[in-house]
Amino acid sequence: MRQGHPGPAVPAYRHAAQKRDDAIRFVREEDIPWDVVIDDVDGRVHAQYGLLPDPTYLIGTDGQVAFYSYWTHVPTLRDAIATLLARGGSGVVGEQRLPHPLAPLADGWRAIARGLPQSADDMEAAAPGSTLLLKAGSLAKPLLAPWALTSRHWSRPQVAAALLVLGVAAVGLSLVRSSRQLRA
Amino acid sequence: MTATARPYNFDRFDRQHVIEDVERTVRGAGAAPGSAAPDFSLPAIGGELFTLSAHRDRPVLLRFASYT
Repeated sequence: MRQGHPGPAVPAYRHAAQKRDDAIRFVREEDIPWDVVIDDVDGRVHAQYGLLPDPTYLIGTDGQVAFYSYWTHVPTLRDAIATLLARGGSGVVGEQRLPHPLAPLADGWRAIARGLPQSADDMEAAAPGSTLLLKAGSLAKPLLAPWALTSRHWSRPQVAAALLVLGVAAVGLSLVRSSRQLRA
Repeated sequence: MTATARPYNFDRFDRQHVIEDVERTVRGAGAAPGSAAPDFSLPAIGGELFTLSAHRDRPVLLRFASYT
């Protein structure tokens, strides 16, 4: 994948070797036990799979996409895997197109933190309040992570409502910070 | 501005990226459930080649990740 939030120490990729080095670092830092493959520098395979940020696909033994998720919600993915295996490993299980917000809220800051300060400045300019929200989520991780790992699949209206609340919270945090900066 | 007009590897994350992500999500971009998973052969970090279609003996979980 591309560098989603580049910064001084993590610039946009220009060579395949940069992606390989980051993949190795990623495996080590995130303690990833599964096989990691590296797309070409122009993201050819990523483009074939839709160019979404951090999507997850479950592919059946028939070679078809069985399940698709924007970001990843572990309990939902676990249920999808169980359903697919119960069906003999093939067929359609479904999708979770609206992202479940708990996991990225609890752990999203870790990715942004690798590209500081530019990554956070750009993120904040693109989506006001988002970095404050991710920082708050990082601080609340001891509470959010267990919830993210055990909460069941949320319906589309539930996810939409949660995203709306988080969006309002992000804008609110951004306004509070802006007013403090104006007073200072 | 269309998504394909912008470079895949960008120097700065900006609001257009957020808009594109939302648009693709709403549109349901990507390989939909029930469609054939695009096949690929890519090198693993150990150097060996991984070919998706060579792993039909059991389901495959494919997760795209970004370091940042």
